[in-house]
Amino acid sequence: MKIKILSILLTTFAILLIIIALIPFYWIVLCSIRPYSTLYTTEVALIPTNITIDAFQRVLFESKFFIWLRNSLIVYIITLFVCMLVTLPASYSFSRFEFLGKKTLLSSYFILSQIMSGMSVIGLIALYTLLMKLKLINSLITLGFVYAAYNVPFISWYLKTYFDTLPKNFDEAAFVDGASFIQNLRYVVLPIAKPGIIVAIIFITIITWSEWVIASMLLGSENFTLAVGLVSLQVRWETPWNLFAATSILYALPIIIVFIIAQRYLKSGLTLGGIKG
Amino acid sequence: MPKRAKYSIWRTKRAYLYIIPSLILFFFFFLYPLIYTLYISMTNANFFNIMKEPTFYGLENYKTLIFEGKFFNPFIKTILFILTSVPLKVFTGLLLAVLFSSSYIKARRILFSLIIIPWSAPWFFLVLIWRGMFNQDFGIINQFLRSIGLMPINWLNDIKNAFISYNIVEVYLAYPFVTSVIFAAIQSIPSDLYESAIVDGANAWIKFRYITLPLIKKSILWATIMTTMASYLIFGVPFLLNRGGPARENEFLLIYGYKESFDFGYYGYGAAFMVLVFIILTILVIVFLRLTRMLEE
Repeated sequence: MKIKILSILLTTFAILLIIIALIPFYWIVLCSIRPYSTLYTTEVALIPTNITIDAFQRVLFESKFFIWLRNSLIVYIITLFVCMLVTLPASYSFSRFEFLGKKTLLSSYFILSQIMSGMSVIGLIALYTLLMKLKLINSLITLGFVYAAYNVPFISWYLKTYFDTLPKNFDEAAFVDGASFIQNLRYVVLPIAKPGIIVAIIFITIITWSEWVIASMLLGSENFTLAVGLVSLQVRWETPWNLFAATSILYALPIIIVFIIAQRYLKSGLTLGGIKG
Repeated sequence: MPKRAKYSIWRTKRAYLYIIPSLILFFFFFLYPLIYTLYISMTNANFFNIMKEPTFYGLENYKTLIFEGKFFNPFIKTILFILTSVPLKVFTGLLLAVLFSSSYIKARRILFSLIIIPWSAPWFFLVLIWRGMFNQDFGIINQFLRSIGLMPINWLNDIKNAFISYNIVEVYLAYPFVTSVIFAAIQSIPSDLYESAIVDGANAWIKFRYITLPLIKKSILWATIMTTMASYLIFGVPFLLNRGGPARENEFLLIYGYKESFDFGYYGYGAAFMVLVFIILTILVIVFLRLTRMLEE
């Protein structure tokens, strides 16, 4: 009996904590569906009256949402393509070969990947100055390359540890048969490495989709990505909260869904450190 | 199987060939700017002369930073923030991990996956929501305080309250990570350890103190190291909540360096500041590496 009461109490307490943890999510949804006139009240209003999708309509049809989305997608695709193109052979090489400096490079990559968001602020002054002198500033393509470079440490390290788990006899045999390194990677390793590569892609997606510090420095307002646009809506332009709320939900929902679906696979990489910034 | 022959296939200089493209990309957009920071830090580069050649300044910027104490203020504030936020993050995470792995909780795994949902959202999106929730008038926190008859709090325009707000938001952002790390460690403890303790008549505290704690010590240390680095490099939360305000009173290291460069246009001075931040960061990393290695042995 005593155990049963304790069990009910603790479970209730746990559920209460979950509710508190989810308040920000509930609140932002609430803001997005309330009419503008009732938004700036000083009274608690947890249950919405007069639900309206007006804010979503205005964001989708009257705001720059789709321009920002397009910019984000351009940057994202460049990042993904460039980063995968260089890290796949690199991490395969890390996994299968022994060479001088390998251990140092890999452990520096790992440490760097844990502090990457801080490092990006430290290096921002020089990055900004250099790109300005080279006239590469305010370009989505440049930003895609910058993001790709910033993803190199973690993705190389992650893919290397993933390739390590794959049985070596397949590609060993292929090497003996005279297959080249790239042939091996393309025809032997990639087909069986799909799960690891998908996780790497998801990591790149999450990191790229939520980066705004570098982007806000390198992009002019006509080239804003969704993340920079969202920050500017609040910090620069003081947009009405219902419009901000609707934009932010449209921005964050896809990434939240991807994350929740893939959570099981991401966890091994995530619990290693503060990858998400 | 001729083992030696096989080894030679795998040990080759060709390996570099496949790594070089990634190194070039990494060098150009990351390492080179970092080295270039060192150069800028020794010039008087500012908003007006940055496109031309700024004058070489030597160690002038560093002198200002160190001998006029400009570095000291943001540094102390950051230390203070580490001292408050790290224990809060780790303790909250530990508490949640212990609670959600308790055998008294029903449907533990489902509840656990719910408590770490904030992890799934982009972090700055959550910070912006908190910015609204902290709003003096329509923010939900003050609405709630008013409804129970308390005075609303000026969260972001008061030096102390802003500092507290950063801590709240940082704990909110960090606990899913800390909890997951410790939760995983608790899950991996074999249950027969507890069973024999129960036979011996141990109570919950004894079980936690002498079985759980020694086995999750490493994860707690790992979480502490990670959250310390994150707190040392804190930028986004104060920047988005109130730009390290009010009146520049809550500027931590990265915020100060960023604002001196981009808000006030002193690139050379800001770069010198960032170099000092980086040097201390390197020392921190080395200490932490030693620490983890010591525990491995």
